[in-house]
Amino acid sequence: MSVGADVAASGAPLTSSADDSTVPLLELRSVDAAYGPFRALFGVSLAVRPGTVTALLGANGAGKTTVARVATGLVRPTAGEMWFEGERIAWPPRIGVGFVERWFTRAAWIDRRGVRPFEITRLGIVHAPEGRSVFASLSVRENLELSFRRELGAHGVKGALAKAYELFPRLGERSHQVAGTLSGGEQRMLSLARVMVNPPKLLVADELSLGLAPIVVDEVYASLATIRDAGTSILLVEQYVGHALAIADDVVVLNHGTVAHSGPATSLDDITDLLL
Amino acid sequence: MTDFITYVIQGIPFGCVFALVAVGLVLTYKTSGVFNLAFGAQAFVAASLYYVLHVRHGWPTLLAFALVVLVISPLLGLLLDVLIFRHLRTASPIAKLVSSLGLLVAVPEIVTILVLGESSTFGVVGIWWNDNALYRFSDYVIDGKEMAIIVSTLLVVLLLGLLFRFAPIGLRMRAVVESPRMTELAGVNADRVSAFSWMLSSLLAGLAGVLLAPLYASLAPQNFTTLLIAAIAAAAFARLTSIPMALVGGLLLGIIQALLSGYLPPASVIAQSVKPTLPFAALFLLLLFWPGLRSAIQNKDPLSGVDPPPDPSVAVTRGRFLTNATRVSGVVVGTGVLLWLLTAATTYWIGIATTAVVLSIVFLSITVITGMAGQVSLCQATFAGVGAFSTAQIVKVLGLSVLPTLLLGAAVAAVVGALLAVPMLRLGGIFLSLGTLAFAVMFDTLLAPLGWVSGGAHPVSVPRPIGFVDDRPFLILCVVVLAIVSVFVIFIRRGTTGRYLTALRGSETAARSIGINPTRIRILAFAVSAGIAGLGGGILAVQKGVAVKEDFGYFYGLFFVVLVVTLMPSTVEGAINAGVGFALVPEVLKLVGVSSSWQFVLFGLGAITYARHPEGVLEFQKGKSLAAIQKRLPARLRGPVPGPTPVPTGGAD
Repeated sequence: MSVGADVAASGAPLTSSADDSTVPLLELRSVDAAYGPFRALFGVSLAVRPGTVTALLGANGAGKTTVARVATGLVRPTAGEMWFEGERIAWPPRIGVGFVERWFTRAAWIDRRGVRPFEITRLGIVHAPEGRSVFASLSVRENLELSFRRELGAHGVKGALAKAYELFPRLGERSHQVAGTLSGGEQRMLSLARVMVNPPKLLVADELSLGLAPIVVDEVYASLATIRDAGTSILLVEQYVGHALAIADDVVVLNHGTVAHSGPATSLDDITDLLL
Repeated sequence: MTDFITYVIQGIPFGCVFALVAVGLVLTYKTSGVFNLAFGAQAFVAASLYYVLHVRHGWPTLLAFALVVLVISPLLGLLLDVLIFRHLRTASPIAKLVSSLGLLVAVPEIVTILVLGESSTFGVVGIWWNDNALYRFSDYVIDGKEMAIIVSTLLVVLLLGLLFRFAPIGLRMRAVVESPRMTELAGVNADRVSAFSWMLSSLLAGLAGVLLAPLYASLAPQNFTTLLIAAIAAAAFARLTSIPMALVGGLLLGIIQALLSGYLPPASVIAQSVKPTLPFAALFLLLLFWPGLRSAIQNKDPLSGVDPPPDPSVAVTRGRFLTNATRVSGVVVGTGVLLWLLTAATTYWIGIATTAVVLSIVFLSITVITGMAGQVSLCQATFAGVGAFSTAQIVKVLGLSVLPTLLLGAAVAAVVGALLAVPMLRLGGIFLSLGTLAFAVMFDTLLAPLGWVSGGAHPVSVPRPIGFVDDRPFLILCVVVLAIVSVFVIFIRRGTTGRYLTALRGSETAARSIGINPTRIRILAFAVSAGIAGLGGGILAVQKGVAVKEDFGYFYGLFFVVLVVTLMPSTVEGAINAGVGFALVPEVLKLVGVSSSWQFVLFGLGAITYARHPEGVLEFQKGKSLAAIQKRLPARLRGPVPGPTPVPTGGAD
């Protein structure tokens, strides 16, 4: 836990490899986060520069997924700040019916204070969550329509669908199949198709390679490269260092909820032991 | 052949009634993931308001209808969403079911007390321009009220079909049910979507309430509840997902009922009991055998890991001194009350105390099935009834003495419980609860009126055992029985069976993997629970001197669950609390000077908290206050505190 604690506590501007003058697209400053009594992040600071891929590495339980969830509003930080495109994302104090929520439900659904996930999504941050990231009970087409309809309007849906099916013909063949019956790789294709057709500003991709055959992993990473080339920045959460470093510009290593290392991807050669 | 067509036409109006409610249930389940038993309560609210505005205050039909159905009903839905169900979106289906059950018990009572009052509710008028207008089809005539129902049902199905097919909101509603968080990640405001679905389904409930009210002579919540349960059969036929199939299911139900009453000899016992029983029997069979129904259980939210872990149980954080202090004070208070009852108390209070003790025995059965096995059974009152009727009949027919017969009655109830459990255990979660509900209503309508069960119009009387005829000795007998059953339940919990049940509640897969046979252990739990309920029911009959079927109606089964769940479902102490509460709360309310119906409101609303406090609100508050006392104790009394303390680091990734 003590590793890198001083880096985190200082809240100093982060080193980025080349161009320090540009404002980071996404920046976390000394973020703490917790699940109930269980703290997961201790003063995590990191930045994603526009147009680059930042790999977030670390062992099981290091807090990678929590960082991804903070970035997309699913988990509200208990301390610290989040900045997107130079604007601070505000989580003002709780108002409204929070006491009812605490009384009635054990599972506070999402923290309803301030900014909510859908608002963050509308800012241009898209989250491909860990594990199954499609609606299992909806068809492939409905999964795509759900986000296209809002982003592109009723008229844009048709063209967007055609484009998605062109990128991933497998999805076109299965457009009426229920997404829960797709293979793991096809499900990843489905969540990536949405991003590729209508590129967001930032993609937060959580463990995309998890549970996939090696050949499918290669396909997924090829898609990621395409997405990056279209101008989308990527925060890539990954356990497999090799895959991630092949595509990453910057790298942040988490250990026990703190930042153990951050810097350009090439800087990682001599600190492999931090990951293990 | 013409007979056949006549009967079919005759069945259509009532089929549409079932269909309308079933469509509402399916819509709510589809768009909010809640199997909304409160639908009946929402319908009753609308029917009552419409009645008060239109009949009592003389508002024009259209104005009253528009205000109630188009304004108040959706607002009620919004209120339910914002205050309750929005926060339950990630709760288990069974927790949602219990919450809606609490509303079903509480809301009609609130309306009865606040809106309808004591005065009569006869003469409900429909919305058709002329309720008695006649429309001729073949040999059968349909009147205005029925025409209104048929037309509205078809319109509703058509409009909902269009909504789900063409409007983006239909897709969004389905997405929110699966995972509100993932829907938000698609940029959709999940709160707004769920508010819309609740408003829509509440509007439908209001429409159903206003349309159905004129079918009955007067407004009574029981009518709506029974109708609701009957309509669940049509919803089950639609696999809880398809709105057109709910229409078909409702129509089939209505038509089959009409055919049965047409072709069976009208005066026969079969005809008189089969017709009202049909929907519940159909529900029971559909739950067991309808393919695809149980796979309609929704997919688990893949993002549920975002939720914080459940609150740690605070009750474990007390030291030895406090534990002993609470136990000693409990024993002292208990003994004191008992001494008062045995010496100074009037017959009236002894009666109340006896009821409390007897009901505690019945509630111990819920401790076993809900607290230990984690299943919500809605037919515990029926098991109690089985025990009571068997005891009464055996004493009457075989002339056995009462005390051993009570055990026989409990055994009969246990056998019935085991027999019911065998097919029911294929069902899990809400389907088990619905199955037990269907069984309870079936017992009410089919078996309970029969002569060889309850004595029919002449209830069977049961004498008190010799030596316990007077009230005080009888109270002592009841206390002794309660003590024995409590020890029995504690032994089960501490023994292998209890641990197996705990393991099963944690994870069925994990329990299987270490060699626990879930079927056997659950059948055992069901049988034990039914047996305890039967014993309690038998003693209740002995206390009253007669086994009356009204004491064991299905509504009591619902109320029992609501009551115990609000207090402490998992401990023996909780069952006793519930017994005391059941007997004492009406007295307290009487003392305060308000209607005793408030008890339904009190416990009904309490049950809503089941989702957050499965151990019971009372247990939770008790644990909290004990923990606070523990903290203030002087250090030398505090002692070592058992139980784990959460580690502040690490946690979920």
